[in-house]
Amino acid sequence: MGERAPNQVEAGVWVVVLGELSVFTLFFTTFLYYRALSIDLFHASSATLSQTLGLLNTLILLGSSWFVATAVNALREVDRRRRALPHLAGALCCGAAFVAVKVFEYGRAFREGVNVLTDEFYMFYFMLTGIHLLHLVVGMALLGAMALHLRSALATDAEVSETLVGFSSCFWHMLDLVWIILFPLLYLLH
Amino acid sequence: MSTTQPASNLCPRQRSSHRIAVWCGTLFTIGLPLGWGILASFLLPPISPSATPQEVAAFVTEGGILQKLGLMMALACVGGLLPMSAVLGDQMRRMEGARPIWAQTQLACATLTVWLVSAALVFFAAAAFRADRNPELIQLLNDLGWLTFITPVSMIVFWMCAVGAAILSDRGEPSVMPRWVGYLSIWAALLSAPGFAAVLFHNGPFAWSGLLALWIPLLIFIVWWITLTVYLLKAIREEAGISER
Repeated sequence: MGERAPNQVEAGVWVVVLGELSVFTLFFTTFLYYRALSIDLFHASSATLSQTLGLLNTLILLGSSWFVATAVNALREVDRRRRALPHLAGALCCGAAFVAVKVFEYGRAFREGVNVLTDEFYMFYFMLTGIHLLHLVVGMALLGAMALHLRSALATDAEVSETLVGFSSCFWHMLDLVWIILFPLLYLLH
Repeated sequence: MSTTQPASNLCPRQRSSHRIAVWCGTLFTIGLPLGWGILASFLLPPISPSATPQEVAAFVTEGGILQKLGLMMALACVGGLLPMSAVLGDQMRRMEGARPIWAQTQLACATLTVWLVSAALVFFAAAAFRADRNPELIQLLNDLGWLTFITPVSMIVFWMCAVGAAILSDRGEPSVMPRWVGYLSIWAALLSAPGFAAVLFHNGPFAWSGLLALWIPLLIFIVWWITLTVYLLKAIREEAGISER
């Protein structure tokens, strides 16, 4: 891969990821502020969430991050590049599983008559997990683009775009990080 | 000078017009918060979406002539966005080269923003126009005004992303604007996005009077606009310098 270090990505990738993290930090701070104002309500509503499903999604995302990391690792050496494809497929399956669990969780809440307007806790629960889910779908699209790009690069023996690989993988790890903060904030603090 | 940048042809006369057009944008960024926000007191503090019809009617009645003057001032100033976005589009064309799609997106988004902000202001003006009408109708106009102002974030987000995309795609040497302005634009787009949820809430940070739907997007828009003003003036200066060489 030329003279550049394998994981070297344009500094801009980090700028965008840090920008995203700053926006989520703003959301978390707002959540903690409102939580402090009506702590009993937040405790009571938070207790109704399924910690099992939350934990399941945490494990799924950690697994997906492992797949992404091993895929990027495989890309470091030209003759191992082919191995990155099944790892990317694994990460995409984890992403799809996360979405499925989330849809099941939302569906159950709706059937129990709980929605985004029920109280302040549920407003944050649905908005924050919804915004995270939206980002996750974008992240899956990026991983998919990376897989397609890699497949055509393998077919023509061309170089793999470091910016695409760097951005997609960093973005995915960021999604994992955000969920690892969201999970205790929403599911465990009560 | 790199070959990717088209030859500059900004003569001194055009340079003055471009400068004046950039300063027109300041009319919007100062006139809207000052007229609508402070004189018409829509930001001092913003009326809550959970306010009763009587409270909304009282707000409009107490606003009196000053509120109408503030709205008139804001309505007169919003158009200032258009000349500035023309200069922005012109500079974006230098960044993008021969087929500038982001520059065109940018101009369309700026035009629609002027249209929607004007529409919101007209709804508020209609409420103030007959402040003695049925309070529930006043509340309806107030709702329409706020929702028109806060919720159509889509074109603001695309606008900021288009500017960011053009700046980041600039491969000229020297670049028309620094790359961090491109990243700032994308970050501003992210921070402006939560406004769409104001349709749902009567309280809290995502409601039209809340931190995430109103204050942060308003603040980041002003920061973005000031940055663009500074760097547009710089780009015009540098372009004129190049053509004089």
